[in-house]
Amino acid sequence: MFGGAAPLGAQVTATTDIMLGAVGYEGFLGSGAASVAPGIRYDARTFSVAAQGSYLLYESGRGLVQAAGAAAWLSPALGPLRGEASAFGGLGSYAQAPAAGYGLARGRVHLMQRRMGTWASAGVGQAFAGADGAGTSELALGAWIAFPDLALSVTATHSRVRDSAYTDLSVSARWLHRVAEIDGIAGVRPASSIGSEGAFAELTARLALTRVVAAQVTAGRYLADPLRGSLAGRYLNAGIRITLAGGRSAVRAPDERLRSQLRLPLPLPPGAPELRVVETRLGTRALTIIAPGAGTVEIAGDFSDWQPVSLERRGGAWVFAVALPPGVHRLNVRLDGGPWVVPRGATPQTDEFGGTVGLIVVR
Amino acid sequence: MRAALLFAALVGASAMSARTAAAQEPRFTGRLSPAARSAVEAVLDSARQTGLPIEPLVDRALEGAAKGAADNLIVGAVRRLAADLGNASAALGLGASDDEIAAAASALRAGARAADLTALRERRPGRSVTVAAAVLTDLVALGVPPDTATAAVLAMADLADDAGYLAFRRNVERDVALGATPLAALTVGLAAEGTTDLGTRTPTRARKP
Repeated sequence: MFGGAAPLGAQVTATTDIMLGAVGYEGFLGSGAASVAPGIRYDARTFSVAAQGSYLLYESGRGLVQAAGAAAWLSPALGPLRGEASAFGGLGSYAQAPAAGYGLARGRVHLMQRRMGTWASAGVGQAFAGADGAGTSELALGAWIAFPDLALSVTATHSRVRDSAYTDLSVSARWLHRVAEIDGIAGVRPASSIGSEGAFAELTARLALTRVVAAQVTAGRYLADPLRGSLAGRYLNAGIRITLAGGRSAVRAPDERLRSQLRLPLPLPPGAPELRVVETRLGTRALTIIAPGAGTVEIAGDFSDWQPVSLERRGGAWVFAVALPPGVHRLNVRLDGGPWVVPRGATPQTDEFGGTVGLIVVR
Repeated sequence: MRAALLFAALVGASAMSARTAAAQEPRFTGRLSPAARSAVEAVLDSARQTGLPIEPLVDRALEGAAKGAADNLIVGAVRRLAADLGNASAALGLGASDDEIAAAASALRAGARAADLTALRERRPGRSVTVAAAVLTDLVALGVPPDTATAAVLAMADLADDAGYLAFRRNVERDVALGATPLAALTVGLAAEGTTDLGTRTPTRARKP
């Protein structure tokens, strides 16, 4: 799709989207939001690169800053076959939460005809939040057909983030006229092991008012995306796109790889360390950290006078037995000598020292 | 007579010095700067004199030291906690254990009111309020509005034991993790406990992003 959409001549396009609207994330109340999202892309015959930044300001005064980039190269044709190599990634920082991001490298084989084609791809990458990372992978199949003003595609994508997996089936359409564009995607996630499934749909309509300015409306509902590290959400936005450089008109679809813009990063990726508290037969508690990829795990808390304690490895888990009196206990965990973090299973709370601390309750 | 007075003064000074030395917290050695240690020790002395638990204060200072916090942040955190412990002790009344006072202080810091803690004490006569107060703190940290979390904990106070409180908290946490708003998760959790009365308060809304 990326290579197929590239113009014959090299072209630089720079745009800025200014939008107002409403957003709703799973687990949060709906909120008004204003956003500014500048973007730039370079398209040559066989090579494209794109970058986009964004700043989203919520009603609460908290902000979300994101940046994403993508690059793709399309190989020479070998009969009807063409190869495509691409990479994309992004970073996001919401309020005081640790920065979250992702990166994915992808290879794709196209079977192309003049106005239709199919492809298969595989990709691997990494998602992270703060110091916690998780390996990701993706397998996908797709087909597309193009008419003079309309392109349609169907895609099946199976994604895996460490032990979590999900499959998305989607149909997308793009209708492009000289002064108008409608870009939409609809699909379903039949099942997942991440607790986010069902239907999703997103639509963007854009109308060029002048050569530089286009009015646009976007709306949609999307599911949680552990690979790109975003919570499920819905949105309705209206605003303008200003085309600052290039572009034969003020309408042009953004790179599909940058779709995660303006989505709220997950607080922690599925690969983050997880804490479990188990009562032992001796009456003590065993604090167990599940962190399969870690080489060392340390814990510090009120129960250790805030001195780091190295945990004992038992398979993919790390264990520390300790006597805990009833009540609230505060702790942090560190993997491989990295920064102190709050493991899943402990409730994160802002501490009084500029960071976060995990709370556990013991009876 | 003068010699006797001088002796008494020396003995008194010696006793005071010995008490001060005994009150020095050895875990601060090498972890707090002299200035921070002196300020924190003063807070500890005051707490001892009023019968407040010392251990939470020591823990908070050590946490700040472990995280490399500046002296003023450490001393400020310890002073705030001492004030919370004092308020919690007053709210719970005579006979409250150190664990109860520490948990109640956390609840106050999370947004509970002293009157709520007094009500919790009165509704659980002869039973510890440690876990109930701790769960209240944790619910607020999960994103449940403080008023609603307090009402939920009070609504369960007559029937729930500590295990029940913890199970309730786990269910709320699970539902939040699955995408429910903290308020919705709490309401569902209360219904599962057979308790839907949140009192006369109007639940405040869950937070916006």
